Amino acid sequence: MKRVFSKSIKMLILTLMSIVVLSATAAMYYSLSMSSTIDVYAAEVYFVVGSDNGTKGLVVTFGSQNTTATVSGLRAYPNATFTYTDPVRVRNNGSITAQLRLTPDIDPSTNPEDFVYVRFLLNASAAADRRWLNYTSNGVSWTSPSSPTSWTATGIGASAEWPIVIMTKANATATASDSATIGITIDVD
Amino acid sequence: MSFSLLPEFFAFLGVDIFVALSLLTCLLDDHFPKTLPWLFQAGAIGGYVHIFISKEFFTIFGDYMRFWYCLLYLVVALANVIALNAYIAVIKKHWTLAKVFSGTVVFPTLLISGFFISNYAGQVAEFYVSRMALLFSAVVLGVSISVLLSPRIVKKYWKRR
Repeated sequence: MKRVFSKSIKMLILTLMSIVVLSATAAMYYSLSMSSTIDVYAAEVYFVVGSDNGTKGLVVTFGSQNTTATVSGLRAYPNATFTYTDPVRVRNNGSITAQLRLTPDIDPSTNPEDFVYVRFLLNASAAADRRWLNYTSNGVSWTSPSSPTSWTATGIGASAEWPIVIMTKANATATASDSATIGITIDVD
Repeated sequence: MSFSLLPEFFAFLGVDIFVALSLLTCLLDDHFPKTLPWLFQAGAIGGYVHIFISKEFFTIFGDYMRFWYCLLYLVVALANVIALNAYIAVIKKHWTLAKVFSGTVVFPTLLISGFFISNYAGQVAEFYVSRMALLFSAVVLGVSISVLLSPRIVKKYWKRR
């Protein structure tokens, strides 16, 4: 009787130990085998052409899926501010508000003596939502936007389209046909 | 969703085998040394540690290394199963029990391990052990078990002849 009892206890302990060991091992194996899946969706925020395209020498071209836009043929006049009010727009095609952030990407490095400034404005409907990126030149070198405060995100509502306004001003003594290249990105959170 | 085996699956299988052996040797404690169930339980815990180390050094160990040391653990577990069978047959000389043990424990364990190793080999190197060979083994297993567990059937068969 005593032996049967001792065997039962031994069996019970071993069974409990087995359950613990197997559960722990299975959990460990599961954590190893867990894999995340990444689904690819079409971008809901993308560029669309603005009403200025084709006017004032402006040409806007888009990359695949309209997630990149190249604006070429921008003009700057000596000692005069020239504004493109609607060269290209950012559209939120989704059903919920998306957070946008305007950030510098490629800083201008050529011909600082020819320019006074090039400004980009994400022209949101509400004044509080507008964001600026200002590139200025002192005639010797370019100064790129460095303050992250102007890069804070701003929410664009569903189906809304915001133009990116571009303002240029050339130096009074600028040389015709000199150019500068600037790259900006619009991050979508 | 596709399901693919990780090399650690062999270690997991080895842990299962050790746990099963531990419980089995506890049930059949008249035929085995008393400490054996605890040793097998320690072997199972060793398998857990094995997978834990594999997880912690996941980025350092390559697939190749992970496969070989996990397979080694499984081989050790299988060797223990075979050694138990040999112990019953050779040391204890319980031939009937040895035959039952081989039909119900050793052969199914080897078959299941073979199946998963074949699957993994197919997944990694597109090398498959013939499905027919596995099927044939399974049929032999089924027949063997039924014959071994029912000696009366065999006796009746021989009497009829």
